[in-house]
Amino acid sequence: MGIKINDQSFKKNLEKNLNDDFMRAAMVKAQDLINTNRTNVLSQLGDGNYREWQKLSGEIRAHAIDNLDFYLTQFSENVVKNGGNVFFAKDAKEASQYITNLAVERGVKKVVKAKSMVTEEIGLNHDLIDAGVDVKETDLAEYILQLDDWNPPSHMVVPSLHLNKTQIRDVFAKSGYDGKDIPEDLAAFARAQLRNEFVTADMGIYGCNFAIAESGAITLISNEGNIDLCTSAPELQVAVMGMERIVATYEDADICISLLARNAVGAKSTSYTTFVNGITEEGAADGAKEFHVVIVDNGRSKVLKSQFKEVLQCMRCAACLNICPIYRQVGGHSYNAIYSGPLGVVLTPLLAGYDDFKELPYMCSLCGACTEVCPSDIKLHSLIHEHKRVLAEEKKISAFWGASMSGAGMVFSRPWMYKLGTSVAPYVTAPLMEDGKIKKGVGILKGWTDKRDMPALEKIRFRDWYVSRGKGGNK
Amino acid sequence: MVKGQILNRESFISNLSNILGREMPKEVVHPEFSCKPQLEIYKGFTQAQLAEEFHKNALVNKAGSGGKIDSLIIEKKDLAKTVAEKLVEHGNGPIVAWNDERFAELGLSDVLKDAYVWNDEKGRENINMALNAHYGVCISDISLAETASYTVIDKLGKGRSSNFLPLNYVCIVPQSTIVPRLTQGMQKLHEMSKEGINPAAINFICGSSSSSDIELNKVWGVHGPVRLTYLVVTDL
Repeated sequence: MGIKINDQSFKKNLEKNLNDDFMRAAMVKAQDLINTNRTNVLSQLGDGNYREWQKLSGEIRAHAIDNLDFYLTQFSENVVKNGGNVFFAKDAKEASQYITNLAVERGVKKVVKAKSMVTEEIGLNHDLIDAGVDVKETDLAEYILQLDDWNPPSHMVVPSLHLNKTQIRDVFAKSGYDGKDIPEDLAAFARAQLRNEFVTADMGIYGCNFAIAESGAITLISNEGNIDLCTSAPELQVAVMGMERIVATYEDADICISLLARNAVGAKSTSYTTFVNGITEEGAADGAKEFHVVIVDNGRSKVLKSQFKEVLQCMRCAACLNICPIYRQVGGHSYNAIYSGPLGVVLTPLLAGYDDFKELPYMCSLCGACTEVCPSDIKLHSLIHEHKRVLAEEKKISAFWGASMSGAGMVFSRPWMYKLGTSVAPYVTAPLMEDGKIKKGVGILKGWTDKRDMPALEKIRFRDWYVSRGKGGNK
Repeated sequence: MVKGQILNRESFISNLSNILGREMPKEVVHPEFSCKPQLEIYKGFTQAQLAEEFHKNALVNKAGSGGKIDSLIIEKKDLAKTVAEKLVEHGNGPIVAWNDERFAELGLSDVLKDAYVWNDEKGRENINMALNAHYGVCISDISLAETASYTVIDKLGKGRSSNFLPLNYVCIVPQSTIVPRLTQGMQKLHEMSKEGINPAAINFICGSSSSSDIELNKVWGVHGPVRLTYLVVTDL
């Protein structure tokens, strides 16, 4: 799949998603539920001083990023001490090819895979399938999406959020499910289908929440237990990580893990927090006999060099998605990329370039809610603002936007033009009126009036009304 | 099987060092961060208080689980009887247990006499036994009061599959293994790592397998055990 999820224009995507009532209601429900739980669980964290934890986590992540070369080296040495192998991949192609070649060389027929954003990013599934390998996504949401003809994820933590239970029932029906659209029954069907896959797969592939330099451990966090099963039975195992997922020590990981679960799902902890340190003990009946870690750059080193470096501190909890008023309205697919919400707005253009994603920075009202919640203490809204500045000043990406701003600057800096404009505006907009409201917008106004009415512009300007009010006019 | 191979590291790391504007340091001093709120949680609590907190938090997990999680505080003298009851609570069926001498020390040999005991020499057969097990039973190595988490540290005889494949799970939590939170668990792993001890897998577990992937409805037992019972033993 790669970073970009379809070739439609942003406008077309938006039009489609804004008309998906179920999806939009699901986003609202998800935000409200997760945020209520998150707020509750954070209030119980220590003395409830989240800011202190947030700051500490930011310092831990910044320290790791500032010493990325040292800690990645230390990490790789320790993976080797634990009997594993490390492949440093400069881009998606190298990473995916290494894993696919490994599967082919070892005669792998079936892979069980746990949810991992970076494996989506490098387009691994399709490369494996093209090589004749049977890939089984095992996270319930990813399993649903795979059966739904590789429907792209719409949320980093709940990837199938955009599908309702009836749609999921219909998807499962293609694989033999004949029950009702009851979540418990649907999950039981997935359990029955996948249990045997875990124990018969030749290869397990999973991501990495945090890599611990001091031991070479891969940290994996989940509720379902599928990741633990991927780390149990398959003899050949591969962990894939973005190069920024490193932390120095177990003790540093403590803080990140403590904040990740609380921010991602509004729980003190996920059911399973797992550390994998290379191959299993000699003679053990299960666990990895051969273990590989693939460390992926794929544009991250360019980010490290840039003014956006701070975004590498991200721990992919999706708290910024869950608070964002834009994400709430448009849903994950509208970002046209696997990374959505404020994190996607910052990260996607950096990894995949502005050409295909120049609209993204404008999917933000700069309200700053994302910054307030971020457990890695990333000033997300400032980074989005910086994207807007780069697009406007350096890339000069939109002639229309530039002309509009120049026009506005000209009008606002000349009192007579401002006065003239505000005086004629009610008459100019009169043809767009219906029942005393602007309902039939054209051009830039249409996007607004398609979804809601716009209050009519008053014929008496505020300044005039204010002056006359002081003189005993209409109050 | 390939072991110990590192590919492409030199160019990858030197690129990062260049970007960071210096040569890679030979050593990095781990900094003192600005605050340590994690050390204040359950600070100064006795083992008995920590056991109470563990149990209390397990009951919070129970409340949100629709009966899929349970927790009992018991004494060692009641352990065998309680384990026996729990291993038939959801119907009779095959039991899988670690090959761990602590079960005998705890007086559980009789209770587990019909259990399949993990035997690494039998290879993949163990995994099939775990796949069909109705019950699994384990003893926590490190237990976290804040989240009611038990820990299994990988070792011969403690097959990973036996921790995640059985339908129902019973975990014995000795009070002496309880620490305030993940912080102290991580300190233990840090100390082990400094001594060169890196167990192949370490699993902190605080509930049954669950998912909210279908319209955010919480469902239990998606992949791992459906039900979990903690037995907190106060005099162990």
